Amino acid sequence: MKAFQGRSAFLAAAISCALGVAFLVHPDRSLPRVPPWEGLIAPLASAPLSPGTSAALLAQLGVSDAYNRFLLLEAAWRRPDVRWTPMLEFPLDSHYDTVVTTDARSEPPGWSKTWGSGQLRLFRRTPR
Amino acid sequence: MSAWLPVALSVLGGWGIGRWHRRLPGAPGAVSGTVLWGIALMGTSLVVLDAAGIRWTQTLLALPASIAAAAGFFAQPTVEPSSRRERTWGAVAAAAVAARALVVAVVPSFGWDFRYSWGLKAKVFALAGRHDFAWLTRPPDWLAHPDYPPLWSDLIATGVIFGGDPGTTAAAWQALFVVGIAAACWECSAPAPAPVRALAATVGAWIPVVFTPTVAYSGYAEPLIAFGISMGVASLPRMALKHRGAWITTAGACAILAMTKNEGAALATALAIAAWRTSPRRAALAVAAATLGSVACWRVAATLHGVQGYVSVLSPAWVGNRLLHLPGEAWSVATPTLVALLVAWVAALAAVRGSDAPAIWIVVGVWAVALLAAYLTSPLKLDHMLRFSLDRELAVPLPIMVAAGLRDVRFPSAAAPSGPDSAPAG
Repeated sequence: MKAFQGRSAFLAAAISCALGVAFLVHPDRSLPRVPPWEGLIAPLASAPLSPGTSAALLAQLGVSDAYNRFLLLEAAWRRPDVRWTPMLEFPLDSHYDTVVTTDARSEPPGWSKTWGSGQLRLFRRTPR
Repeated sequence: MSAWLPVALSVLGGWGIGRWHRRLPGAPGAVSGTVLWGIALMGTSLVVLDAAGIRWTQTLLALPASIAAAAGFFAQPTVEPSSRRERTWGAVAAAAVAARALVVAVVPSFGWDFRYSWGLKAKVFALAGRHDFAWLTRPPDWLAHPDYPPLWSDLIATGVIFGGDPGTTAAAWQALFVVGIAAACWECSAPAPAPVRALAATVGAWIPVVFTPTVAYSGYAEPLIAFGISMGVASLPRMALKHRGAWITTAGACAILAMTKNEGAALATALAIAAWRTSPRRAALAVAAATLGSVACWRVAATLHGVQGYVSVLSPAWVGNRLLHLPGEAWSVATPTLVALLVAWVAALAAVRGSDAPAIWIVVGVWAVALLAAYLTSPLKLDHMLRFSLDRELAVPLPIMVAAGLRDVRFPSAAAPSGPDSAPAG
């Protein structure tokens, strides 16, 4: 019985070590290390957004909801000093006066583009 | 390099506290004690500063660690003598551990949950200089898990405060956890001969799945949980012997577990129940208090600030349906890794025996029930949960269970009392 338990312990140790090495040699390559949306959002680092600003990130047209969720999270990762909110369209009756888009949509009346880099555009509500 | 500064400070502070701790019987060894108290000191410093309304700064984080390190010089810890054979095998284990720690340290964390949950919160906390409850109340997306206990994000935030990058900081901390898990496994297997203990330490350092540099798991909280449960389980046998230094260790480990993640809180509860059944009441009470206090500390703060998270579904119909589908879903996501992990678990538990077995079985039993309950009551899709969590959940306590199984291994020469090589080796 004692010999069985000893062998059992060594078997557990061998499997555990082997798995530890195997995972290092053959890591999961099904997902890219760098998110595909990183390049799209990266210019946000230099966008003229003051810390504490509440900004809306408009959902990109023609992509999945999941992709848009990751765009929003990447925006938060890139600019954690900004309070991000997802929106589908330019806000009408809202206290939001700052909007960031990731596609080439045109702004509605009352908004003007203040900054752009790559596909990113920053819009602000024009003063009345 | 700045990402490494808070880790180095923790090591200094942990070394100082560990030296005082080692004046008590049953305290952990120099290495594991340093890691345990380094993490506890840094985590506590952040919580206390936040509770006092004081902004986190480099100076305020360095101060407690410096004081603890200075105090350590005045302590006279009990030094247990070690044989030459132990030192030799200890060096072999150290080489295996160093290799793994180096591999972990050089790859900045990059997993998506790290980027959009643990690391993101770390950036936000570092910017605010505190736990930013306003942000947690209204995160950009629930994937950020605002309700999770904050210790792992806090530790990453320390590197950001010192000017480092979250990914590099997480890698630096995780290299420290590698060392801590390995040291705990070395201690847990203590009565075994030195080569077996070296094997246990190597198993600890080369823990599968959780330190893997993959998108799926890089930078996640599981390594910290693995360290906490390893320290807790390693101390349980000494707790049963009424050693004061041991229950302080278990209490510290439970606090770390409870402040890291809900799964950590489940493991801390398992340790507390095991302590209740196998250790003196006063010691068990201290462990339970550390667990409940840490859980309550975060839950009360989060609730008062209105922080919300996923709500478990407790309806019998939901739970029953999930229970019915669990075997099929588990089968559908089964991989060779998962099967190998299960075989390793069965083998490790089959090897656990003696007076330590009841405590181990209680820990495993409570943890298994908690894990099952989490899968059955989660609002998330069952196959998705199993696919992206079951292997890491199984991997977290595995090394310390293997070490517990190795405790009673004796080489034939050492077991024979009248043999020529019968001198104790461990």
